[in-house]
Amino acid sequence: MNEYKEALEIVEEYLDEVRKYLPIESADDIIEELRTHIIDKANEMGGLTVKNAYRIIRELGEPRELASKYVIGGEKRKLRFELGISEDIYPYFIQLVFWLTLIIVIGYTVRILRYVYSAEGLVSIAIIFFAFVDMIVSMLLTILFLYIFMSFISSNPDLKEMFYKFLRDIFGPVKTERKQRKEKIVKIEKKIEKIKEQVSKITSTSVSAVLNLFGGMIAFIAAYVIYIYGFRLPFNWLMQLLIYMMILYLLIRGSLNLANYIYISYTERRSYSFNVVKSMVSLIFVPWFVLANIFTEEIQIIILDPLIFENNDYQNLLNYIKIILLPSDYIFLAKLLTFLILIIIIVDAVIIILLKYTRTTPKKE
Amino acid sequence: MNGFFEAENWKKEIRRGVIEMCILSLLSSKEMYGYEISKLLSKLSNGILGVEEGTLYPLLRRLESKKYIKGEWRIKEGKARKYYKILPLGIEVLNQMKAFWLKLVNAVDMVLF
Repeated sequence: MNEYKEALEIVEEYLDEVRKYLPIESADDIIEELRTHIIDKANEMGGLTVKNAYRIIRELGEPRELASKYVIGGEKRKLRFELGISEDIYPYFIQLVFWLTLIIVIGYTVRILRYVYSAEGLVSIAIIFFAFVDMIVSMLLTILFLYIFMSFISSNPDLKEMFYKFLRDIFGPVKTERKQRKEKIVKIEKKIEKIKEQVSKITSTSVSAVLNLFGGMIAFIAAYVIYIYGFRLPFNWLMQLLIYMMILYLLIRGSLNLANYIYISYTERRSYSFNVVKSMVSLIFVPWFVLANIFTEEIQIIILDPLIFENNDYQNLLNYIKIILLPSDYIFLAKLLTFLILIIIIVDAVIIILLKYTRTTPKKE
Repeated sequence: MNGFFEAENWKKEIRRGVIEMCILSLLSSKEMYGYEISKLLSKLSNGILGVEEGTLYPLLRRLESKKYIKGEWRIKEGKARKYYKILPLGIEVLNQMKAFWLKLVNAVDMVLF
């Protein structure tokens, strides 16, 4: 009885796989007919056992190939569209997203750096900001377009076949495909489970990879902007120290993010150590907050002269920026806040380190 | 050795050409389900016309879409199966095919022997 159940499961998984490549309107009928065939044949072979199930499936052939026989020249070809990218071309989607976003980021970084270099004053801050928005919009549109395009390809089996071969020639066979080749139909049941897991893993890792790339670039550019403009303003020693700290922090965070991005893109795995190191980086600020808590009256704040609104002179923003010492009314509040932030930074780092060493490490295959 | 594979390919092509005619012919005597057709083809032709199941079912579907045959789900002997029966258009096509087949076999015989 148990074996019968197992054999039935193998058959159903095989049929599910065939179904994916069939035209929706006729899939039910075709699958039902194949199922009766498998059961009839198995009965003739002495009952539905695991061994018989595999034998019959092998005779029917590889799911995609079997389904393609129904599609090519069989049904009238209609172009269909459904959102969602099928599992076999999904790895290529990730690769395309990786390369396209990289190209966009490099392009815009060059553009932004050119703005920064040619800028004489704070005039270009708005331009830099818009260039950023522009970059993010271009990235999102590119990914969206790619997603819709590949969904369209996935919805049409013969188009997909063509596109798949084309991509394979460019990028080479992906890991999942190499595995598929080795295992063939005999191990279908295990494979489907694995592919499903992998796809969900790839989806989440690809998102975090792209976020890391974003974060890294933003951190570098922010560090650069702070470096360019931060020292032009007449800050005192405490605030200059803060600027140094911020630049250092952003540079470390940026490098970590980029390293993490490359790590995720190539291993398709997320690294927990990176996250721990990342949260440790905030500890850089601890000495500054200690100093700020002691010399609170030295804290300076930036204010924008309201004259700018009267004169409508946004071009010369820099001239309207004023730096003043923290008003004495706020000193107590500032002491409280610096202390709180200090505690939060330390507690955050401690909690994350504790979590890292108390959690069970994720299973590796 | 190469000649063997070349000939195998040629045989495959020929088989593919006649298999439609043979299926129509089988169905003209009585309605049958896919697996039954597959077994009968193989048995009547001593295995020469044995067709892979992965090819037979799509082929049946193609014949169905051309309106040569029609498949219907029916329960017989307590089992639901898709039975195919030949349609008038299928009979007409079969007759044409058979007539040409006789001519072809004669002509080829004359050329070869």
